[in-house]
Amino acid sequence: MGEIALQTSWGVQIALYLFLGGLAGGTALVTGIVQLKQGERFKNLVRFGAWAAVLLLLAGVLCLVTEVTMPLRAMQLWRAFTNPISWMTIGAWLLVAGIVATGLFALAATPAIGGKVLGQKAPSFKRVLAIISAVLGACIAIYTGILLCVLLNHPLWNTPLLPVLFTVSAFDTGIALICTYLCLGKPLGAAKEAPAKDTPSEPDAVDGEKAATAMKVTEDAAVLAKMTALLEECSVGLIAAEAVVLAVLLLMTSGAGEAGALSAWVLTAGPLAVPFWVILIVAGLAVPLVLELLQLKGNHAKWMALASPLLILVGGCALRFLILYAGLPLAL
Amino acid sequence: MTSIQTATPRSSVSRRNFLGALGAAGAGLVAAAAATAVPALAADNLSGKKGILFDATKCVGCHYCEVACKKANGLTCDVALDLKALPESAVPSGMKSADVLFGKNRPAPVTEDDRDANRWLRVVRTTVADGDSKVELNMRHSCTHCGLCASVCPSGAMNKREDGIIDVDRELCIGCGYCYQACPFDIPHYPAEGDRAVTKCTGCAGRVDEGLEPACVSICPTGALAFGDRASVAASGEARAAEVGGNAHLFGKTELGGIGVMTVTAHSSQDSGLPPLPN
Ligand code: SF4
Ligand code: SF4
Ligand code: SF4
Repeated sequence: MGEIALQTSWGVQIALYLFLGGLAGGTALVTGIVQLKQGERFKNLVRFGAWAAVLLLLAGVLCLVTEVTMPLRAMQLWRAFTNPISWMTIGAWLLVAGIVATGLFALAATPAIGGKVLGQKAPSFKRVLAIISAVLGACIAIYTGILLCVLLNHPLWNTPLLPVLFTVSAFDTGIALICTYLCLGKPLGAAKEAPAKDTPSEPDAVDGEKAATAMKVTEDAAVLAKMTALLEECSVGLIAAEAVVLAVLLLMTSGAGEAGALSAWVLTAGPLAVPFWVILIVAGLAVPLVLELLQLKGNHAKWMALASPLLILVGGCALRFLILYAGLPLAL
Repeated sequence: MTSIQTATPRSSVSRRNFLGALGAAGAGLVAAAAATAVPALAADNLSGKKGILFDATKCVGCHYCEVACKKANGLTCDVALDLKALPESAVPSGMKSADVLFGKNRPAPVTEDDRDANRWLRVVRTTVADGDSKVELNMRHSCTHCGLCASVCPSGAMNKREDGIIDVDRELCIGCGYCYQACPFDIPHYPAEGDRAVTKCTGCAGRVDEGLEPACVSICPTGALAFGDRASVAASGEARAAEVGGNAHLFGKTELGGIGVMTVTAHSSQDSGLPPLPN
């Protein structure tokens, strides 16, 4: 095959940017939905998700700014992003809107801030902000794929399947981040603010309190298990969808002219074959799929609950790098 | 909150809602993606636009155009050829291609890096299989004013003029590299240091506004370059291809609905190093 020059004009920072944008968007979407469905119950989870989404968006923007050759100019958004038909422009403004909306959502979801400032109105504010942040999150996730798919110079990217692939992966990584928190953090917000008061009380009352706490604990465990199972089910569906979309994308690309065939070869049998099969397919898709299915069948080992989301995150990151580097141009 | 107690851990209502929300987002994205995957290409990119015809069958690889381009656009040029001594708008009347190729008028080879922000035009000599033998082919590598970069550039640094020329406003460029990724001809380049904004052929927009031909066209001693309305450029290109016969064809009339620099080549587009662009 001779020497293949991979696509490296857009390198590490753009790959990270695409990953972080997707992850942040997916996280904002999942967090928003959790807020709408179970927000009062999963206060801590929502607070974590919202802050994570903002910080990931900011990290993504930082990657982008360090990639461009004229960063100071790029930061003057009103001057740098003016061409309304450019997806770079649309994305930049989506990111701005997403950072603002998700940032406000994160503030509102932080009791020390949101509770104080908003008071009684906090729940309705959070509701509205959750919707806006979730919609913008989904748009950002989609946009990371469209950014590449409009470039007809790169057959691997120039297909409507690419945004589908990136979006499915973005939602899955968002779920994975939330699952990681479910596993490691304290997702339920309400329970622990009932510490035993030191007021002397009747033994009966103490027993009653204990019983109430015990009931709360079991109830919490059930709620948590339900949420975890729900997210795992979504994740299984998304992993399966991602595998199918990826397979169809590669099949279509391999028939799309010389550059397309070469791109597909680079990934599946060429210079990127090892990371493609080992990191993306096995570690990023197959293993988490099996782990999620085992968990849905009732295996609740903690290592599984942690390993599958972490592997999904690794796979999502690898996907952006692999697709970016394998996107060979028409003129070889 | 109270609903939790009645809901089973596998409450299908909640799951359906959750999946529904994800699904709706997914459906939206598919629609959006499908609508944008293929950039809307202008059906007719020819009428009212200006264009250059590059006739590879006449190009002798003298590099005069490269030098003229550098001089006209203030790029560094280490070639000792004083173009000011030559008439601005026309080929010196007595000069023949043989003089240029073998005579004292041949410029020294351009020594800078092949792909350089300082070199907007390069003529590359290759050999192409022609039956059993190999024949020489000189190809022009420069912006073809196809416009793909202008549609993705966020800042308007790459901008399409009324006459179809893709001009560059370096003051606006943020150096994002999106134009480079969009370009099927490997054209936009960024200086490695100093002002790192994009550079490429501007189609000599300033000269065209003054009623002059692009510098590369006006210097060409062999008639391999011509400038005019795209429709007439296409017509003369097709006529020339028919005249040459064989594999000869015109590249750029139908590609992307018509691009600003069309090429007559005696070989297939692939052999000539031209990218397979959709019509
Ligand atoms: S049109 Fe002008 S800028 Fe472009 S290659 Fe010719 S001389 Fe150079
Ligand atoms: S050839 Fe490249 S630089 Fe020139 S207009 Fe087309 S995309 Fe832009
Ligand atoms: S690098 Fe400059 S000219 Fe190219 S797309 Fe980005 S802003 Fe536009």
